[in-house]
Amino acid sequence: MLRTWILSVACSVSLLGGCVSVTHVQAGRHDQFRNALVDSCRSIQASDFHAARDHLDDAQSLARGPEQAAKVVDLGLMLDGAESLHEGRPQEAANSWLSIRDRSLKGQVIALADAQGIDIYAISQAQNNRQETSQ
Amino acid sequence: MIRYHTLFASCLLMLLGSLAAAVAPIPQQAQTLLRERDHLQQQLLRADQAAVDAMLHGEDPVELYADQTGLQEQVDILQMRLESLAMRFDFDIPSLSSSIETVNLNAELEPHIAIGRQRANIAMENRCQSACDSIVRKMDFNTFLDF
Repeated sequence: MLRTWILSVACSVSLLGGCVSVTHVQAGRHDQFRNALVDSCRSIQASDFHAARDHLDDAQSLARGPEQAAKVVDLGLMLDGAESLHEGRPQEAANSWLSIRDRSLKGQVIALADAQGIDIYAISQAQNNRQETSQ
Repeated sequence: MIRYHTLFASCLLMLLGSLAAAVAPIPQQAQTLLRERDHLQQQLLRADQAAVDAMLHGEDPVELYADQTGLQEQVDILQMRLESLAMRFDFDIPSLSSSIETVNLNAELEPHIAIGRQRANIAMENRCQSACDSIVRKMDFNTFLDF
């Protein structure tokens, strides 16, 4: 009886330990993912796009689930647009930024571009018109 | 023997002379007239098509007829001046085109706008770079990272 009781307690403890361990690993991975995203955002803010890309790659390798994957995609589009604009290709920047799905990120970047005299919608529309004309 | 040589030399000279006449270049004055004539001819052909389009829409395009008439008269005058020059300088007049040439506006404009385009591109790169730095510096990622 005592042996059964000890065995069941041991099983419960080990099961609980395993659950805690899994939760801990998941929490650790989540933090790592978030940290990679934070580092990428900071690098973007510093116009260090190469470092931003490296951090984003890290984030992509750590991403789990559709929400985190969407974060990576949106920040990637943000980064693509910034790189394009920095290299003097506003049409490509407009296309990338207009493809961002996160409303806060998209609205913010479009408003900031507008404040700099860059009409993202007009640039994209003009490009579409040119493509239609050439076809 | 000397007579044959003389005959041969004179034949050669005549042959060279006729060849030179056949490939006589069109004088500068005539080239200018030709360019003007061809330009007007293209305008006339386009006016013809505009008139056809209008007629197919049930209109009687009197203004276009007047344009066509004026253009035709100008082409005729230039053609007469060219024929006069051709007789004087002995060259062949290229025939009038009967089809509308497609104009690539960008290609036509390029030589006239190349310097401006290059300068604008350089200015654009500088402007985009500084604008980009400003945009990304002001970005607030807190909401995006709040998950």
